[in-house]
Amino acid sequence: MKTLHKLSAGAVTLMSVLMISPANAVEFGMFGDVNYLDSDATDATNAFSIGPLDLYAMQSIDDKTRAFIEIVFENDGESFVLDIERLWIKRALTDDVNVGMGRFHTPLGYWNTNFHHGALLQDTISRPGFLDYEDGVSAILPLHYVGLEVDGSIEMSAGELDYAVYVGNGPSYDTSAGPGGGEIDINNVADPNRAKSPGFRVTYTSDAYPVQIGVFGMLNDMGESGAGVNYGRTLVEQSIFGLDFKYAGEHFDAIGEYYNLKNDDKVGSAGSHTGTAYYLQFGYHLTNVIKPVYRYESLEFDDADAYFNILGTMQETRHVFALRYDLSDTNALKFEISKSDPKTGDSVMQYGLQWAFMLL
Amino acid sequence: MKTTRRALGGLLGLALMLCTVSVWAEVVVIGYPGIAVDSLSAKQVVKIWLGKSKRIPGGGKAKVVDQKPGSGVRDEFYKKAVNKTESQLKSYWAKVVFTGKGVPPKALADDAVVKEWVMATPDGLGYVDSGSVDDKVKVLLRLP
Repeated sequence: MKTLHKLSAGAVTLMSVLMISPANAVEFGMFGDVNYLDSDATDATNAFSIGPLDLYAMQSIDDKTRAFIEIVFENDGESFVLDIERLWIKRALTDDVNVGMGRFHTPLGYWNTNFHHGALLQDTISRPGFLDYEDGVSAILPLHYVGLEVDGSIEMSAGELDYAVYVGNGPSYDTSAGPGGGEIDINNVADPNRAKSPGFRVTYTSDAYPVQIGVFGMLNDMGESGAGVNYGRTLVEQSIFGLDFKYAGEHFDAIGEYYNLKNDDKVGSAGSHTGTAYYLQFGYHLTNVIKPVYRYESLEFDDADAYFNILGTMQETRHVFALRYDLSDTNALKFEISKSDPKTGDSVMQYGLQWAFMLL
Repeated sequence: MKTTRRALGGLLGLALMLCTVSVWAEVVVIGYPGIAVDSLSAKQVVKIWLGKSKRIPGGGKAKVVDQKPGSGVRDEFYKKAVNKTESQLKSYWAKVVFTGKGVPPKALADDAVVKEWVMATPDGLGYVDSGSVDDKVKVLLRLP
């Protein structure tokens, strides 16, 4: 009889754990922002705008497996389109190793892995120009990939080492529109050629100091994605390596990233060239909710570089001044003034106001 | 008169009940009986519960549970140990989940369920009201 009682009590406990524990709860969220932007660029007009609407969901499917989806409604200049930003499933093989497949943010640098979408997360309205999304006018980096990723973290005596290594479909671009007409294709469902892109990022976060440093790299055989006899042909062999850091003190914080891009033209006579891109951003909490921010960013490359020519990228430096005012944990106002100095052409001043928020 | 007395008695009872619900003697962080540590600092507890530290000092990977949102002991734990309100906590985890860096701990129903889970889970950690503690789990930190 006692055994029966014990079994019943155990069964009740187990049932209550299974019924009440939301092991399979889906975490939903949404990020949005509304803006007012003005500029002194020729032909520019001042305008109110709604930013991308970002919806995400994550579920722990079982104790070791979780899946994540993120979709974004954004305006492509003509109408609102729906993009699948991320879609992945990951399983923990051990405490320190996870393996996943799907569409990920490429683990390049700090910004792309922490502030990718969700304007509320970043302190400024704008992102560094060279970290523009693949379909943006300043884009130079494949910020997403579809493939296989192994990641994890290793606890060390004085900090933590996080790593991600991956291989995915190689990015490509369409040269049929000529110089300035190409944009980076991620190749979500197919790959123009058999060359896959490997990459990695390793970060170390100190226990003793509020500092994180990272190194990252990526190799790409940029293929031709325009239809025709050259479809799939390697246009540029590219290597990207870089460093990033973050310091987050009680009042003062700083973020910086440096990228080195080596592009070797495989179809023309442009040869091999190296470009560099970096930014440094500093912020200081005047109060818990008010934070002025300054960022300097720079992109330089050789005029003969075939990769940048096809993308139509402009070399420039930019100063960004922003003031962030957190109205609560879930919404913030930002004011921003920036001055862009392109290598050729006139400087451009931009002014912006943004109200960014999240729904939980 | 009888009605008034009953009403006053009822109000007094209700007031006592509310006081009882909102006052928590002490929240204690408990661990699996065979866990490798004898105590945790408040700083270590914060890092583990916010997903910033994934291992128990000198031990294996920490397996952590919460109590369900809205429970008094959960509010007390996050107020005393982590210094965060429920809305701040939701906002924090939303950002962590969105950046793919982690998931919030599973939330269990009450002290009894948390204690059962911790007892049965090697490297398991939870928190309960001190009144629910017995020698079947290891007390690692007291939050008076």
